[in-house]
Amino acid sequence: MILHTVNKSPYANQCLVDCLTTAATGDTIILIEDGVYGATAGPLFDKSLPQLSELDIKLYVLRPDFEARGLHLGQSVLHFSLVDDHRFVELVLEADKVLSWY
Amino acid sequence: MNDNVTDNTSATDGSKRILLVCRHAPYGTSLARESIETALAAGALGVDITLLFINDGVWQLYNHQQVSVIAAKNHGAMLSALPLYGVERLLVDEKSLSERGIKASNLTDIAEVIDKDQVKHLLANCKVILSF
Amino acid sequence: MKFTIVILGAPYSGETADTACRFAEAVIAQGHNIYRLFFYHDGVHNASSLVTLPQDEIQLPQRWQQLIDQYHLEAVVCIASALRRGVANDIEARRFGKPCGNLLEGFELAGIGELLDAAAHSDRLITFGPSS
Repeated sequence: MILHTVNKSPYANQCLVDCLTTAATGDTIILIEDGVYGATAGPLFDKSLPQLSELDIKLYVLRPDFEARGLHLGQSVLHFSLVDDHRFVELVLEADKVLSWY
Repeated sequence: MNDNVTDNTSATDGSKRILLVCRHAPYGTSLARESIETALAAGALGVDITLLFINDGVWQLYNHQQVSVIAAKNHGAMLSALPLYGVERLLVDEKSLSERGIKASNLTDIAEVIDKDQVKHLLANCKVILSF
Repeated sequence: MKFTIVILGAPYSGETADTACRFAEAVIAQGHNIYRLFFYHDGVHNASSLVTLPQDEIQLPQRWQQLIDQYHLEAVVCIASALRRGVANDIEARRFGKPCGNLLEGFELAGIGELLDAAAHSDRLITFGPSS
């Protein structure tokens, strides 16, 4: 199982879409830095969204980066969990390896 | 080489297999160059490594690169040194090629085109990923 | 568990170094080990003693240095990436006829082999790519 990190805004960069295209069933994704704008999930990448539930991919968002940008829960149609740096470390341990999209 | 990609028993389950994922185009940043330098070092040190060119990384393999004016070394020439260093598992994602309208005949012949299932298999079976 | 953390972003230009440093602190706080910090690509700027910020801003090179010092971490800066970007120790600076070295104490210059070694010998390797 792979933990994918994404650190770019999906409105400016293909990273998140490329990641969603490549991620496999059971993988996890964590949005960090500008990647957290992915949690606002505007219509720009609507067509990637069904893939997430189909593939059973869990989505996490790094809380300090999310809050720094003034974002809040309820802005997204996606189901994601906010996590702190400690949980980020645990997510890396729960995965077999990490693939970073930047 | 195709056998290595799909063979569960040897090539893809090695406990120390390193997969180098190359996602960036050459020249615009030094990421592509530094990823290939990592692969060359692996070859020189006898470390088993596989390269996957995906997304804009496929542009690294594009034929006929000419760098007579820009301040850069020819990336294609650098790539062609890989087999000389014993780095022979160079794989390129078919979907990334078709998204960019690139035909396999536009690429240097050192890489093998693999489909999305083979990409998934490769990612699932390596031990560690170096993300470039 | 042994972690290797690869840092590809410069301090100040982007968030990479801050994110990676926070991650490293969290790894240590949870009682895990850091096998190696590897600074590559623009990440080598984290090891420059010439980075200067206003007093009320976080000095990332010093923050790394404290972590390295306190927990006796191995902090390797890729020598090829470093020299190209103007980061050198006194020995390398002298070798290339430069006026002085600027590598912060606690960091060491070494080859890409150290990254490959870390990939083989760590339980987990995570790359923090550049923000820009």
